[in-house]
Amino acid sequence: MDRRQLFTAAALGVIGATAIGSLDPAEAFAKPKWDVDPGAPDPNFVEGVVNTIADGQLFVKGSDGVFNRVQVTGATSIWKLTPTTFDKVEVGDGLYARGVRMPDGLLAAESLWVNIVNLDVHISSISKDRMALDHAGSPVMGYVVPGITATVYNGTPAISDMSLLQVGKHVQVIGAWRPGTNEIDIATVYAAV
Amino acid sequence: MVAVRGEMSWFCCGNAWGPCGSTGHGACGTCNSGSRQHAWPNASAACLSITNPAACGLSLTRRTCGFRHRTTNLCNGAAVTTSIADCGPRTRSFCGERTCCGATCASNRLIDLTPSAYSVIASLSTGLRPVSVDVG
Amino acid sequence: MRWLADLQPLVIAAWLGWSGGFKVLGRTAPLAAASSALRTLLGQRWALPAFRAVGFAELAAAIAVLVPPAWPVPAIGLSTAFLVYLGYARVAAPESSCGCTSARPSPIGWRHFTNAGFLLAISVFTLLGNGSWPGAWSVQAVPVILAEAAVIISLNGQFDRYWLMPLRRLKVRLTHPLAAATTDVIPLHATVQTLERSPAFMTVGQALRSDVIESWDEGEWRLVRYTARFQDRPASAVFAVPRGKDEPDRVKVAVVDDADSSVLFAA
Repeated sequence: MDRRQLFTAAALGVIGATAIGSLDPAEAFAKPKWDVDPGAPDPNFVEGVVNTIADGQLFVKGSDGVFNRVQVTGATSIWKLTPTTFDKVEVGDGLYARGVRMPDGLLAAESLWVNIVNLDVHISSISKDRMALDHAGSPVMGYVVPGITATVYNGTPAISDMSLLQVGKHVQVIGAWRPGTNEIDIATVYAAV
Repeated sequence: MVAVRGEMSWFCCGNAWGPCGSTGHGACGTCNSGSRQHAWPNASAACLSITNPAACGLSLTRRTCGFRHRTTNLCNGAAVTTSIADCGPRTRSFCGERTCCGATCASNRLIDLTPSAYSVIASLSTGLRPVSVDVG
Repeated sequence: MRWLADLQPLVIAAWLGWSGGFKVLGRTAPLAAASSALRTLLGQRWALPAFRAVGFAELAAAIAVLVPPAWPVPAIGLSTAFLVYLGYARVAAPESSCGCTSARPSPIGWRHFTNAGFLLAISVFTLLGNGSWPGAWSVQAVPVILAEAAVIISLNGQFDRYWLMPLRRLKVRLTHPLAAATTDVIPLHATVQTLERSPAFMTVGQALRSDVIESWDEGEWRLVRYTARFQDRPASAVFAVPRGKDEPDRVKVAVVDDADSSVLFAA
């Protein structure tokens, strides 16, 4: 049975759980607390641009000019418009990484968000497969990716139908920035209608 | 302050990559995406005139740069304490918008966290979560 | 030709009066001044006083060109200086706003240059007239004035919401450009929304250590996998979410040990 078949069988209840005795699930699942001062830089978080990629490690240059090493494993989630794999990460990509800082300074990444942006914008115009967006006066071109781009209207379940979006209205857009440009691929649009 | 329920999102700041390349360090001059900080809709009078939470029926206490709030994700109980570093979110543009977790729902944009702070209690790809905000 | 030149003071005075009035009396003028390149040029302390001074100069130039005999030289001087200022702002403070007639964010672009160039051109053109617009006024003057006003309005982003946005909305209504974006594929985000509202997610939420690692479809279900931690053991949390239906109560979860593939928890 391959891993996916195992996971599917487990999630659908075909394979039962190992007895865990009287252990309280809440206790088993409790997350360790990280103590970081409010306002202070978070040592378990890295932001910056990928400078080099080697042996499952990313060398990331932060906005403060400091280089960080980020270790990526099979347990690291990688988002680049959609969940993806390590081979899709490229030099020049921007990223945010959350994980655990090791004593040698390496960040063992649990989650990687590559080129992710969250923009408050006005829709300037709508064309076939794209929307021109106004981000505080700066133009951003947002590309619609059929099968991936989804819209959430008033907090309801996301759908692929974008016909209720209106030129001139304010929306929030989660997307993947295309490095070196003012263009993004749109993952989710949040709109009030 | 009584805990206020609303929605949280996230924003970038600090002259970083992509669209953050020209955002600067926020209204307080100290904002960085990698720090445990947040934006508050009533950080100043000028801020309030932009965000206008009253348009959505929200009355929020004036809190200035450096003030600490504690944000709890109503979906998983995870919490993070951050300090004010910018003005936001633009509450008036999303009046009545609702986000739910189970039977727990919250309306209106209340707080924006930096990517560092948001990712402590939720995934950046979600973009919007119901939260409870209290004094930190 | 002379009568056309004599009509220009009306347009010039209206434009300079509007612009000057905003700078001197506008409620959001301080915001406009602070976001303009004046802040880079003169520093925060002098940006607003300089902004107001330019406003007074514009009002004075408006009066000078409007009251016969029309004296367009101040308007020519201001337009020229404005073009130079725009060039400076574009280079020295490219993220700054024009701040010309509103506090709306508007990075310097071709519209601002064209607008300033148009104002300069009609100010220079005024020199060819007799200097008295009442004598040139007639019914034929109306379309000329309206056409010039339309040019100025179309170049000013502040008015886009009154004409450009409605035109674009009409175009969208007629052409449905994003129709092709609607597919049968259920967006992953819809699945995650259902999942995050489910009792199963709230039970194991604190155990999750990552965002979505992968997802795949199996019949009526979509499986979504996260990295998890169960009593310090590396694990995978796999959720089964009804595909295409918003039924959070039906979401199931299993936590599987990464080392020995045993199922540690299920709900």
